[in-house]
Amino acid sequence: MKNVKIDFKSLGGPVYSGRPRGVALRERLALDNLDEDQSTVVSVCVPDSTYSMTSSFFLGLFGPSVARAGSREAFFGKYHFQAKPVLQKAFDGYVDIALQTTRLFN
Amino acid sequence: MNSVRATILPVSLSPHGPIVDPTARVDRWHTVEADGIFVDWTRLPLSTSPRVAEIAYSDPLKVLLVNEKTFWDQSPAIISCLALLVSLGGVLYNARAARTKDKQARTQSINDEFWMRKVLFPLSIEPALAYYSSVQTSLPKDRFQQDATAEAVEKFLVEFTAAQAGFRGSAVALGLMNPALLTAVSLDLEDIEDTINVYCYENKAGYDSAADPGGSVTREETLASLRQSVVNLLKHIKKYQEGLK
Repeated sequence: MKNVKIDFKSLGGPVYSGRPRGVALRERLALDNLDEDQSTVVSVCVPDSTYSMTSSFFLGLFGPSVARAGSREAFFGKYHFQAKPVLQKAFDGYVDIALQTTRLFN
Repeated sequence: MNSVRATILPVSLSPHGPIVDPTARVDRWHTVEADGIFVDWTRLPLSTSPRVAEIAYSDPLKVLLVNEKTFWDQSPAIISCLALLVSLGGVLYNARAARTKDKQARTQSINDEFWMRKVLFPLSIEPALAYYSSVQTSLPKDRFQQDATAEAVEKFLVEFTAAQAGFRGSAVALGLMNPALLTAVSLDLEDIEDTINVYCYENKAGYDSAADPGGSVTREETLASLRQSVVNLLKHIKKYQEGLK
């Protein structure tokens, strides 16, 4: 099993907002390729210094991955988040929104 | 078989039956009726006069040539039929148009009056509008105000984040009506969330006597941005409702 690490410490902050920024970072990190590779697990480290990560940024960055995974378990099975509880709780909510939207249209 | 010369008399038709008219010029003939026997005129050998023909028959004949009926002679029935068809077509067209119109009105009524006004607006939009309206007063003071505190900002952000998550979740239902509407409203909600998060971050420490007045987002700017996003959201809903058919 291959492990890829995404460390937000090197990706700006401490406020991550804006869908275009999330989409741009997704392209930069080539997450589409990582999603295709079933044998890859991605560790996502969000430093405690992060003030907030808004839903627009998160869904721009991870939205297609959530839709592709199809379930919360599958997404968090591939993307392992290390973040403070308040952010982890927010991420859970964002994933739910992405899944609801995906299911509505499929 | 004997050959006989028959006098061929042109006949014009009248409502009371055929009238023999020896003076009439006969240009076209349809059938020849000879004592009840129909003779095909085109097979008759023509003499110099179009009214006299040699026909092969055993007995002398009195031949009546019946003028070919003109279109208008034959048409009353056809015209009646056509009129009936046109009228029937008109009735069917009107019935279909009325049915289509009723169906459209019903669909609009269901989409607009029931789903939008009774379900989605109260569920997905109204609470958000009410909350954003309250933010005009509840948004904590910015770092330029002496009574601004970090605690107020932190408390507000926690409450806002929870409320916003609810609005985002409820807005998904708009996708039942129109996926484009959901996308547009979601982007408006994201703008609001981004605006508030940036404001809270920049003012997270409370009052800052050394703050650069031109260097960070003020409360007034944030509220103006929030109002604009709300207007955009309402515009998207209005545009959707205007497009309902």
